[in-house]
Amino acid sequence: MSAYEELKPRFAEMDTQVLSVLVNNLPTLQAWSRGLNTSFPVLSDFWPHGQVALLYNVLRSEGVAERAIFVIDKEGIVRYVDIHDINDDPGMNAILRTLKEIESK
Amino acid sequence: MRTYSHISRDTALASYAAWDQGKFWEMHDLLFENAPELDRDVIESLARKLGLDMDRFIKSMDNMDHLDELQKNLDMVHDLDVWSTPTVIINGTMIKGAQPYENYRQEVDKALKELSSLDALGYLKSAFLGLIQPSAAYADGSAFGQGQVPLWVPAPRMKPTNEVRVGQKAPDFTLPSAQGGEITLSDYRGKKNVVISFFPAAFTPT
Repeated sequence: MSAYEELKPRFAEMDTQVLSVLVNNLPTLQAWSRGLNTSFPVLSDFWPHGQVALLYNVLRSEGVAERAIFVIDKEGIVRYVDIHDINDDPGMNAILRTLKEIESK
Repeated sequence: MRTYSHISRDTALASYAAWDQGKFWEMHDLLFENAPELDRDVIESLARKLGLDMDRFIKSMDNMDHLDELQKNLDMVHDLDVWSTPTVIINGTMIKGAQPYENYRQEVDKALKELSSLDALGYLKSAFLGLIQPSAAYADGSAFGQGQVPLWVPAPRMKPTNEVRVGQKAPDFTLPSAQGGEITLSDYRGKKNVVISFFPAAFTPT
């Protein structure tokens, strides 16, 4: 989350909106995102539980989401998918590379 | 017709009356805290404690405004042959009485597995049948208690394989934001690229 924050100017340059999605309820996410001081929307996919995670096929049977990233272009087309190892930090490079590709077209 | 005690009926009606004023769960909690001594005087003192409009509350109780809904719920419970509290129904499988977590989990896992192998669009419907079951909670799948917690949940329709792949149209959604308001993915169409980042859950390592 903080990595997104650091790259905020880059995302702005590249006309890109970052949305975080979590399966927790709003009060939890409010407490959580306040601590992280994030300026991007933190979305609550709590009820019906994990419906958007299900829609993107990243809801695990224990009720949490995968650590997953989807990059979507301005036409609404998916341009990058990373269902990442849940215990690993996916980093930012692949996202930035995808956005650059989108920009160059 | 199923029989029930007057105390059960009055507490159920009180919950409905509190629901009308946006305090269903608050009343629910107080009723459980104060059981089993719940005569009309106690119920009214609880309503007062919650700061409800007492004229409205008492009128609702005296007129039994919600008796029809209560009866519909009892009829449904009767139709389903439910006699234990709690009873949980997961995709048609009934789990009676309070059982270990693992039993519920198994059924949910099974239901999810069945769903993902369905050819057509599917539904996961789970009904939570406790002491009180306002009819609106199942009638249209919407929330009751003024939009807080639905008891009957139509889960999203799933296609057989719904992996989202590169080159596909991103499934649209609308979700509430912790910063207030709601965000709809398609609102960014034609304006911005979007990075959607799913995190396992809050307060897990980021």
